[in-house]
Amino acid sequence: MKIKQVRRWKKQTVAEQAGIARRFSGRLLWAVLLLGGIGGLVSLGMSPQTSSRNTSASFLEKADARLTAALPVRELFLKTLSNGVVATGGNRIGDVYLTNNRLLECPQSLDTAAMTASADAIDQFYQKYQIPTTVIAVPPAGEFYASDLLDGMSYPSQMPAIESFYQAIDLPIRKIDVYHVLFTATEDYIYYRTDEKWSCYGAYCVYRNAIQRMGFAPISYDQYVITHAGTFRGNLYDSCLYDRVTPDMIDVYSDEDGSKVTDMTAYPANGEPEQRELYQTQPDGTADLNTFYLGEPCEKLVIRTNLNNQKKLLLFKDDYADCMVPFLLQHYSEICILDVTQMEHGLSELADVSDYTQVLILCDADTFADTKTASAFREGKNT
Amino acid sequence: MQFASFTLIFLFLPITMLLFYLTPNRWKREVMLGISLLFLCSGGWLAAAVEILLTALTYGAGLLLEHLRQRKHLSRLVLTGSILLHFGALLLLRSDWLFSLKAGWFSGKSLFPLGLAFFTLQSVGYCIDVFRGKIHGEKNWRQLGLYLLFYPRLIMGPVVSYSVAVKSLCTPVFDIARVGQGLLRFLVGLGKKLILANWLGMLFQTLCQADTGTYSLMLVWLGAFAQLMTLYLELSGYADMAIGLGLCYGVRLPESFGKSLFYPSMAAFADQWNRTVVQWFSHYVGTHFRGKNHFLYLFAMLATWGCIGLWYGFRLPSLLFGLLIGGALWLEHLLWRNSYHSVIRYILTAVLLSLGAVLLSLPDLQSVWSYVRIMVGTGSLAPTEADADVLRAYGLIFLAAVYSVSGNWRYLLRRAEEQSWFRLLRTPLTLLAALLLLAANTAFLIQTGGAVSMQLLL
Repeated sequence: MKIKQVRRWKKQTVAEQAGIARRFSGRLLWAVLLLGGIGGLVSLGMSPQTSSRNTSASFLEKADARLTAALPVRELFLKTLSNGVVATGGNRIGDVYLTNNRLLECPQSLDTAAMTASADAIDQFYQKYQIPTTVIAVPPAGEFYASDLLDGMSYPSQMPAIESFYQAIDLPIRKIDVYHVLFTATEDYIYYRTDEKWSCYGAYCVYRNAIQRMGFAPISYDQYVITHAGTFRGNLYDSCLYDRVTPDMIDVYSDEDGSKVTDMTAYPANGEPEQRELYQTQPDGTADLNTFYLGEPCEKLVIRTNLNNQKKLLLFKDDYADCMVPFLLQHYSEICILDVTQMEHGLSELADVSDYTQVLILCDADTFADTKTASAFREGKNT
Repeated sequence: MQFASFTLIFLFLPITMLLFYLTPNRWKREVMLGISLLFLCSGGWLAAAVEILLTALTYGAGLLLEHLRQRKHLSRLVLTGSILLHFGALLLLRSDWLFSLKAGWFSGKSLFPLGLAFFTLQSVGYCIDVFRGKIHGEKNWRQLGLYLLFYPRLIMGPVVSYSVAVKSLCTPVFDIARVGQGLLRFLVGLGKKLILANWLGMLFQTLCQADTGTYSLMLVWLGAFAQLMTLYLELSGYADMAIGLGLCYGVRLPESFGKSLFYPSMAAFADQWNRTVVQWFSHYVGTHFRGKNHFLYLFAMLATWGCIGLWYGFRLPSLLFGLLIGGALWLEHLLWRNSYHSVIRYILTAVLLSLGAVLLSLPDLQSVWSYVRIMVGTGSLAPTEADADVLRAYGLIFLAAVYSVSGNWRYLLRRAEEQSWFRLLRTPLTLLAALLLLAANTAFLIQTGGAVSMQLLL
């Protein structure tokens, strides 16, 4: 008699089969995670070290960000995800809004208590030194281009928070209303399409207004020769890899008759002083927006020019100010630049404030809403 | 370190699992404590120091309470001090109180330790149990340290009493099937958080940022329900990750959430939503007021759920969330105790919970009022153009989330287990699903920059 052979899997109970599947999954996933970690570390070791703009990030946040950037599958995964979101009708990938013409950063809700603390610290700074001070809070590009979003899609404005911040700063500190300055130029190239920052032309428009309020005649736009240093795709593109938006250009505004830089020294928080050029191109001739103007971010930079007008500017800034510095150099014999996002030492250790004739504070609204920013205007970091 | 981060998934977890696996059984407890301390320190040295100090104080309070067991007045004093200290620390570190002091002295460094809210419940529960004589004050500091600081449970619980937890923590069963089950559960939880909750959460954010009248009444209610689903997916996702991580180290943690978000009654909600936390507050707060009197029951409900609301966030809207749920439970107890479940009850429960989700998610009463006044019909009643845009952008993920929170997929899975094709292909299908889930989670994690934190600060 022929005995029908019953296959082994048919004899197993559901629980036994689940157990087998779990055992295999356990081995496979554990191996994949271990190998993934080793692969990540190897690619991290092979990728070039880049300095972070965000020094307030913890060690782990930086490690996560670096691991993300170094992952070999990053591009494939992110592009697949972006295409998937767009295909399902979405117009937002993480914190980036997609429009036909540009990528817009979705602004974070600002910490109003921290902004008030920053405003108070600026007031106290002015009370102490009595040096003419000007404050510029830069709004995000979305304030000007929110209409590019889908019809009726709301955009969370930061303007009320910026207005409250300005109101909290006492007179006679001058406050530049960037929104109204740039609003008339929205048809022009005032913000990058793939990066959150303003363009060189946007910085020029605000410079023209601010420098007048600071007592100088601005250099006319016609006097500049504009050259393109290169094209790039910025940080908004990096976080979504949505490539249907035209890449950006880095411009250099040069005035042949203007002042020239005679010395530019960078003082990193943990390192030796180094000489730098105003514009930094990569060894292969390309330009990276993060380092093109003024080089790698560092705690303090001192730039001297061949002007002999005894005018010295102390500039507190974040990375928005980088492309405005070349315009400001036309009016000062020395500019001391303190990056509030990179400062690890107290103000008194970095500069003799009373030595300067004017103070300019130029950051975007997010930086003013950072709890660390207020301490940049105090003598010691933790006082 | 966040659960949803590359450093945990690809470095911390596999390496510490390997270390734990290679450690002889008698040292496993100490190694696990070391791993948990390492995890704790990743959230910042200052914050870790605060939590370690509180652990030491709990240890000391436990021994003191044990020593003073016969002297009730003194032991009551110690217990009160311990409770005030723990809840005071939670209140001070979590709220915006002393903001300028914290910002000035610590230069913006986070002082809020990882999972302090759950830590506080476990510490206080331990002290009360010792005071009541249910357990003895633990003399072994490593054992108590592991109970309070066991890292899978740190961020999202569950809250387990000491007598129950100590058995599983001290005798972990480490085998590869458990590891597989744990990793799968972890990936499912991660997917709930990264793929569904984060994406769907943007719908409510979009609606909150709109001007009054931009969106219609229907969409605003859909948004509130979407936020309820977001909260459920996020919290239950973290609970899944905690249970999964626990299994990876051989420890089985109790379930915190029910399998579905659709509740036939508020009582079912109270029974299944973050149940270990609700049970904790019912046990340590609500039982003091229980009685047959309806008003005493109302007071018990309001006190219990008011405390739960404040535990979720020290804000007025969170307190209102608690009071809303407590009041609804009392009303249900009073009026509908014996009625049948019906579609209307499912809808009414969902409506109340959606309102609760709005209260729990918005920071102040002004924002709550801006949203709620559209929910009560002061805005546009007819669908607007903007509605279509939002539905186009989030419609698919909304439907996917509805299906996910319905729990129906579990039923389908159970049915499939009886089919011969599924029995034959179960292992390869599980492996494929695990790899796809890992790839999808990795893609979403890449898009968020490598790490994501919780919406609620617990």
